[in-house]
Amino acid sequence: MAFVLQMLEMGKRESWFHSVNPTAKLIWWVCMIIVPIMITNPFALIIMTVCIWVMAFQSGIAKQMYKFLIVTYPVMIGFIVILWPFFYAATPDQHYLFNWSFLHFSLEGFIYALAMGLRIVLSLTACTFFVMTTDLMDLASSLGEFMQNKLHISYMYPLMVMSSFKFLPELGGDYFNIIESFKSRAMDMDTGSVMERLKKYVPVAIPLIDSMLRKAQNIAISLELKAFDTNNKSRTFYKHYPFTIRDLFFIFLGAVAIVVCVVLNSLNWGKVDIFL
Amino acid sequence: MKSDWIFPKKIIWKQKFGTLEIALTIIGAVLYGLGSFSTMSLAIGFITLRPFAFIAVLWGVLFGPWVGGLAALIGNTFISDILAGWFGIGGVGGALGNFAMAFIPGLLVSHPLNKKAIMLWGGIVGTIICALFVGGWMALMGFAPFMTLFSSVLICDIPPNLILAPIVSGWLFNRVQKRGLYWRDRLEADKEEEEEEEQ
Repeated sequence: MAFVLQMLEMGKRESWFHSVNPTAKLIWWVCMIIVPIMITNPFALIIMTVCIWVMAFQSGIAKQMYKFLIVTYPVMIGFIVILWPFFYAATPDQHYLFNWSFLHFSLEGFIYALAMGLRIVLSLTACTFFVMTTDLMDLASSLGEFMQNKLHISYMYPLMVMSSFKFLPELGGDYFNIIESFKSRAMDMDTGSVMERLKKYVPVAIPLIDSMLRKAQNIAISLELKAFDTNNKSRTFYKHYPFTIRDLFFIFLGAVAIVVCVVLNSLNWGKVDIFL
Repeated sequence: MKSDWIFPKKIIWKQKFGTLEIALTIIGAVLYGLGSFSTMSLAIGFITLRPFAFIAVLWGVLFGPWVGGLAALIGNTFISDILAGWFGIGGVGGALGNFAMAFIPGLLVSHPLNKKAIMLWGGIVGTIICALFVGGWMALMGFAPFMTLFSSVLICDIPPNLILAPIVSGWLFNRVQKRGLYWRDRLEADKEEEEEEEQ
């Protein structure tokens, strides 16, 4: 929970990257999701990942971001690198570490698996950078304004996303209160086998859900009081997020990454196959 | 008829979205998102063990298919995946899959105390469709083989949805109904109100 709050707070810091329009950052991020879909060349993927690490350093979130990624990378890559070689199509010309019945693990399969892992690394790094440099409330508000004014979509949807983030700390607080009250009644939550501990958590879920339902009714009443109308598409916004040169430059960075991918693919350097 | 438990008498596709539905979606999303994120450490590659996956099914059954579906979509995609940095990877498949996991039982379970129907539509059908979406999307993007992810999602989501969802639904139904939050009751009340207005 503390980590979630820390991560959400990180987006409120001040730096060049933090001050870029949230929608522009979202577009850049979408580009960074498209890049690993387009190319599998491990060197290109590593270079782009390193660029994001440098950007993280510049935006003052390096310490927290690296700490998070160091824990996350092995889980993601480990799984891919171990599993992919078993699914890699076996051919007689590969260099096998072992080849028994339908089970095989070749050097080529391993390289392919590493490339697949690096695609995930790039995607994961871009997402973490985006979350840590963007205030999610600003993002929802900016997107809400854009969706309502340009696409004529009700503000209801951004509101639901934005409010979910706002209620995270409250839910966390309620959860800890319930746990503490169980502990004060001499319930030992931390000992026993996994199954025993899971069973102990079931009675925690009931009052938690019950208290959240009460909260839902309060939210509904406050929305009613503010005359919230799901069909209203002429809502005004307190804060505006106009696009500046800086925002366009940030989108341009994402577009450049995609252009690089197109060029690499046209030169046949975009795929990991050139190393196999 | 003995087979009445399988389908509701009438399948209701539409759900009016008022302030209460919005609030329930928000709360469901927070619960599901935080429940998923807090168990992120129990991971098998991309897929995390989700003891709280039953919340999606529960929300669908108690508060309607659209409220449940949107709560699961927002909770999984915008809270859990974004905070964990996995949004770009599992994004579309995870969003659609989790939506379906709540939407299907919401649509097809006739009553929250109908344990067999919750087990069938939430625990089995909804979860299999969720696994199809997640595994299919990952395979389509070339991130991982289909069968690996398909089976991982099933392993992670079937036990809570099959065992916990019907039990918790039974425990909570009375409280939800007393508060006037059960979606089928609300629909009927709305209908009666409309009829009264017409008269």
